[in-house]
Amino acid sequence: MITEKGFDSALRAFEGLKGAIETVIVGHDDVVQATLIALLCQGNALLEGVPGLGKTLLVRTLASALGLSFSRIQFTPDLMPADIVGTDIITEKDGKRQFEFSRGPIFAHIVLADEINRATPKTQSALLEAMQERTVTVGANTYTLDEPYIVLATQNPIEMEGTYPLPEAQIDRFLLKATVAYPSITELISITERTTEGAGITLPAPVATAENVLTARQAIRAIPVSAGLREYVSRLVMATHPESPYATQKVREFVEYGGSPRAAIATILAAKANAFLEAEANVRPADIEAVFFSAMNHRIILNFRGEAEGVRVSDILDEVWQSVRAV
Amino acid sequence: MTAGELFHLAEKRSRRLRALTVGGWAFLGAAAASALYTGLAWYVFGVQLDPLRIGLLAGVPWLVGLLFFLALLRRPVDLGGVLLAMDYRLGLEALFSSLYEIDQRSPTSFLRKRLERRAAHAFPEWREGLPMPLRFVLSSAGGLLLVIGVSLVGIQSATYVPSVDLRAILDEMKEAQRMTLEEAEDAASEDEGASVSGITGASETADGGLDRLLSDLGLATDDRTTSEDAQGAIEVGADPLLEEALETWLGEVGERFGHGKSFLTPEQQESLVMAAQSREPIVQSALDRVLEAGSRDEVESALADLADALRETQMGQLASDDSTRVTPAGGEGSESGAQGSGKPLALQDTDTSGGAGSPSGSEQAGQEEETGLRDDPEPSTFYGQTAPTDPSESGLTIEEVPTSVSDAGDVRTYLTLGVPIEFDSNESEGTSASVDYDRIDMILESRSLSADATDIVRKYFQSITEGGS
Repeated sequence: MITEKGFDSALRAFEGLKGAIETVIVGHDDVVQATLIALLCQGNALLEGVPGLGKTLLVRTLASALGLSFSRIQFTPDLMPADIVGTDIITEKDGKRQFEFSRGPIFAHIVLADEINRATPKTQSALLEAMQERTVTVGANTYTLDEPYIVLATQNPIEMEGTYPLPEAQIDRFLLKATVAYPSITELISITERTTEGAGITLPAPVATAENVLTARQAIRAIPVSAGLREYVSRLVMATHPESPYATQKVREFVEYGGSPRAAIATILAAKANAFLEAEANVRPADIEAVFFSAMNHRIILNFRGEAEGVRVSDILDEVWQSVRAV
Repeated sequence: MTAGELFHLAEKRSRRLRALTVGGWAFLGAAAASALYTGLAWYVFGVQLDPLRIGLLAGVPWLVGLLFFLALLRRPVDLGGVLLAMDYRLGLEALFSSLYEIDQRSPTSFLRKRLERRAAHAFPEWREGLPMPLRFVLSSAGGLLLVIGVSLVGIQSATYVPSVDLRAILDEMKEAQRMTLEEAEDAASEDEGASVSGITGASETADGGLDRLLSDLGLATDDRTTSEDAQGAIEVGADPLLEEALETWLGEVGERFGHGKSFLTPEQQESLVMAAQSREPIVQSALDRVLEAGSRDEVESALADLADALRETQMGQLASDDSTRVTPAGGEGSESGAQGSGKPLALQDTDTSGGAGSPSGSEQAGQEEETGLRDDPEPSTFYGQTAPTDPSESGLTIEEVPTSVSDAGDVRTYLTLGVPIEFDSNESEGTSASVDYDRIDMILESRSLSADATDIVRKYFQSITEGGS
C-alpha cells in the first residue's frame, strides 16, 4: 500500500527527472512523456523516427538521470539472439572446465534496441520474454531481469528496404509508440546551441533512484479511475474492431485487426501514469486523450485495402476518438 | 457537505429524475394510446364516449406515468455513471466519479482525502450537474397536450346529442304501412260485393273499418298517449319502430342532460310523435331543430317552436278542409245536417277514446283547437272564425263515446269533425248521410297518399253511403 509520503516523494522524483531530461533534450515533450509513462507502467516503448532526432540521446539521458544501467543494441540483419540475451561459454575454474552464462546486453535496466526492425524476426523475438515476463531463458536456466526494466526500441519509418517489420505479437508488447518528429525551428536553434557550445551535451547526474521508480509504479496503481472512464476506454478499444457495433466506417473498411485487451490495459495504465506525472490524484478524460493515440496506433493492423489506399492509422483513430463519447 | 452526503443526494435525485423521465415517456405513450383510441372511437367508428370512459381515457396516462415513476424510483442507479455525467456538466475532470470509485475501493486511502479536498469546492453546485432532463419536459408537455386533446374530444363527444334518425324510421314505417295498405286493398276488394244496409247498421262496422283503414294509413290514434303514465313512458299509437326510435332518442338525450327519460313531458313526447308523422315542411324543420338541439334549453325552445308549428299546420289544414263546409256552430255552412237537425255534431276524442277522425293525425293540440278547450288567453280561432271559449256558447256539445255500440242510432255519434259526410237536413234521426267526394279528394290529396290508397278510401265511403257494410 502506497503511503502519502511515498506518493509525494515519487512524484517529486519524477518531476526532477523530467527537469533533468529537459536540460538535455530539446522539445519532444510527448516522447519524453511516453518514455516516462512506459517506465512507470512497467512497459516498453517504441520510438519511431528518422535517424538523428535524438532518440538514443533521450534514452541515455533517462538512464543517466535515474542512475540506472543502460545498454544499447544496434539491430542488424546478422544479429543473433545470443548476441542479445547472452550465451553459455566454457570457462575453466579450479582446473575444471564448465559452462558459464555470459549475460548479453539485454541485462540492463534500460535497453535501447536501436533500429529493431533491421534484425530478423528470430532475433527480434529474443526480446519477447524480456519485454513481457522480465525474464531471460537460456538453455535450461531462466534469469530474472533487474527492476526497473524497460526496453526502448527505435525504428526508421522511411527506410524499409532490408527491414523486417515487427510481428503483431511483438509489437503488441510495446505499451506505447511515440513518434519522434522533427524539431521546430526554435527547438533546432536550441539544439545547435547546446551541442556546439561549451562542453557540449553533458548527461545529467542521477536525480531519481530505482526505488523512486518502483514507488511511483505503486502510486499510479493507486490512482482511481472511475467506472465510467473504464467503460469509455473499453468502448474506444472495441470501436477499433471492424466487427464491433462501435466500429466506425473507416475501421470497418480499412482495419484488419483492432486493439487487443492489452490495448485497453495499456490505455488505462498509461492514463494513470499521465495523471501521476501531471500531479493529479485521479484519472481524467484528458489523461485518456493524452495516451490514447500512442497506446493504440501500433496495435491497429490495416487490411490490404487500407494498406493499398495508404490510409493512416492516426486518421482512423481520430475518427474513433470523435465517434465514441465518454457520457 | 461530505462526499458521502453528496453521493446520497446525487443518487436520490438521479433516481427521481430517471423515474420522471421514464414516467414522462410512459405518460406520453399512454396519452398517445388514449388519443388514438379516442380519435378512432369518436371520429372513425362514431362511438359516443360516456363521461366514465372519458375520465378513464384522460386518467389512464396519469396512472401509467405514475406507476412507471414509482417503479423506477426504487430501482438503483449506476451512481458511478451518474457522477461521471455530473463531472462533465460541472467540468470537474472526473473528480466526483473518481472520488466515488476510490470511496468504494479504498475509503481510507490518502488519495480519497486528497480528491475530496479537491472536489469540495464543487459540492454546493452539485444540483447543476443533475438538471431536469429535457426529455422529461418534452414528453410531459406532449403527454399533457394529448390528454387535454382527449378530454376536449371526450367532452365534445359526451355533450353531442345524437340524432336518432326519426325520419328514416318514419320512412320505414310508411313502407310497412304501404304493404299493409296493399293487403287492405285486397281485403276491400273482397268486401266490395257486400251490401250496405243502412247508415245505422253500417255504423258499427264503419267504425271498425275506419279505424283499420286509418291505422293502415298511419293515422290511427286508438292507443294514444296516456299522459299520466309514470315516468313519462311513450305509449303512442305510432309504429313500434317509431316508438323505439323515440324511446332511444329520449333516453340518450335525457341521459345526456341528466334527466333520464322523464326529461320531456308526455305532451312534449306526443308532439314529437305527431311531428314525426307530419309531412309539413314547417313541422319537419321544427323537428329537425329539436333533434339537433345541443342542450336542454335548446330542446325546450325547439319543442315550443315545434308545438307552434304543429298548431299552425293544424289550423291551416282545418281551415282548408272546411273552406267549403259550414261548421255546426252556426257559421256559413249551417245548412249542414248538424244545424238542420238542431243537434250539433258530437265532438269526441277528448279523453280515452282519442277519436277516430282527427283528420291531420295531429293529436292533442289539434283536439284542443277543435274543442276550444285549449288554455289560450286569446279567443281561439275555430274553423276560421273566432270561437267562443265556452263550449256551450259555441253551440257544440261534447258527448262521451259509448263504450258499446248497438246496431241502431245516430251515426253522427260515431263520426267526428273533418269526416266529409253530410247529413240530410230533414232527417233528424241522423240515420242517413251523403259523402262529399270533392272534400274526400282534397283530404286525401293533402295526405299525399298513393293512388291505390286514395281509391280504397273512396270505395269505402262509397260503400257506406250506398248501404254497404
